[in-house]
Amino acid sequence: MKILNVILFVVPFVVYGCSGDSRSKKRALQVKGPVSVEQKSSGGADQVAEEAPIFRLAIKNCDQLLRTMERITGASRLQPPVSTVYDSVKGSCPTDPSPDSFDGSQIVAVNKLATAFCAGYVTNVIKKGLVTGIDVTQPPKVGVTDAGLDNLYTDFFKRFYLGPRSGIPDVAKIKASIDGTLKEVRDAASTPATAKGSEALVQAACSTVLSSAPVITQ
Amino acid sequence: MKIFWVLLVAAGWAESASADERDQAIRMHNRLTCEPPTEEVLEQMTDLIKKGDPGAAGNLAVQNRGFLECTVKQWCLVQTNTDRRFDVKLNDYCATVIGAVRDDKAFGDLLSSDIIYVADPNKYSGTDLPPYDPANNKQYEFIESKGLNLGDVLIETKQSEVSGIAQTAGLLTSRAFAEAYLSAGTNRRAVRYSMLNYLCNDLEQMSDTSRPDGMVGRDVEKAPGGDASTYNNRCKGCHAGQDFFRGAWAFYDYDVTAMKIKYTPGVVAEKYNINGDSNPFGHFTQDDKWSNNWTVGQNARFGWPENLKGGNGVASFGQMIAKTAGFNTCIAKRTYKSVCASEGESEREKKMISELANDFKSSNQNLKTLFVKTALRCKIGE
Repeated sequence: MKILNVILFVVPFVVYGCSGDSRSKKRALQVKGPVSVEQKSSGGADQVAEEAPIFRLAIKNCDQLLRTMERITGASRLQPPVSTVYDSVKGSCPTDPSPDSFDGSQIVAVNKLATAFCAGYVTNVIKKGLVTGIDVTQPPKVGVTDAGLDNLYTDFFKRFYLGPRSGIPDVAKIKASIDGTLKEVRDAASTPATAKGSEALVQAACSTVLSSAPVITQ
Repeated sequence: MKIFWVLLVAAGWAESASADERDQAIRMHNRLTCEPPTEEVLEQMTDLIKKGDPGAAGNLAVQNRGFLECTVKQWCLVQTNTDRRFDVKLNDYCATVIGAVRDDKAFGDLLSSDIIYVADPNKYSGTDLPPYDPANNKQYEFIESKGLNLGDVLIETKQSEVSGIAQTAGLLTSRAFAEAYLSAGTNRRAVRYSMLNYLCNDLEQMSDTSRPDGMVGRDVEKAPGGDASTYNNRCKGCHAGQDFFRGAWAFYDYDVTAMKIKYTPGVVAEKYNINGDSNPFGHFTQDDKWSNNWTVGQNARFGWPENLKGGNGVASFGQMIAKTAGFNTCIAKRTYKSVCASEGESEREKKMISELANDFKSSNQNLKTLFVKTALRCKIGE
């Protein structure tokens, strides 16, 4: 599970490409067309060139993370397993919005929280049959169908990215980034052939995407 | 590894820099509530932005519990401890800020009013909710640990009635404030952190050795280490302002054993006149008089109110702070930092913070309005 998680964790971000701070600034300054909310509120179109929004990466702190992950997965931040994990990692939570201060222990803390919330996702969403084609009462080869994975990516897309908007990866990109790895693991002989393996597979895919929750643009 | 991780994650999650209405709505909601919107709220906010009414979209976002329970809570918790941490337990100070924001009260009034927010006993009768107790923080910790809706549970009441303190001044006589800033010491900490919390300046930044030092306490040596220049060139700079203000809390102390405020009307707390041998000719505090020694000199820049240069007690001190131009600027700056995750040090940010401060003042110091306006205007950079 842990190895799978690590493998899956890094894949999607490579595919999506980098939109770090300097690049965001450049792109933001090149925005043309209708005046944005930010521009409108500061005095009108004559200030557009001067006051075009510039966005910066920021790191969510623990409270912000808990609420965000709760919203996305539907798992309560006040109940186990999340509350239990939170108690064990809260000392390592991000506290500074600057990416410069985001260190290894915080990354581990975020990943643990994501995994805990994703256990809730499996319970609240998957086990209730809300994603067709995924049946975690069956071993992976049977319970995690190709169609089920496609539905899973669509569900991630809706929950994590709140649907289509500019600059956000679409379902196809999410699929392209993790689909191959997931299927390899599913089909590999070494994968646990029990129903628990299906649950772990879905949970890992979920936490792969959810672990990126702390990073936002402001 | 760290940079690699950040870049990878950013690519996967970060919202686009080309902000369409939907993106703007998500961004605004995150700024104001710590979390993304529901699909339903997102649609409504997007529509409002498309119709040219982003303020209404912001007002919709602040209906989310996360606004009070995360954004505002974190905003105020840092004001209640010397470490400036936001990850501490909910307390009476922040519950009062949260309740007042919900009820659209003037934030400045919280520094002088006889006000506190507690859990509504009628809504939670028969539950395990502890009653408000000025000797502990249990009620607020219970509210937080049980995830009770702060927008629903808190009611306004008179602080004097629940605390037993006849002369109250809202946040400045709250238990959390007292525990952090009135325990032990000489109550100078209360002044220092009032300057930090409400004027965004530490005493070092306000130091002015040109001011007269007639109210500097007897415990401050005039020649520490035998060198008078140390006092004249350093110590005096802060004490000449700080000690003139600290009389406001002369009748207050924090009893660390009883874990509550010790209020002694008419009787100056013993700690005010300790160590008199250090400077026998220093000021002997006899009452709760305070005066502003910084209306002249470099600190005149804060724009102190002309008609309130001195007084008696904490409430009048709080009124003075709330009427200072620098108070509006500080609150706007702190809100900008909270909402936009930026220190606001660039020229364009300073200009915007100045505008937000004016908006804050003209809105009768409505903090909710300030948060919404700030969320609409995060523009970070040079």
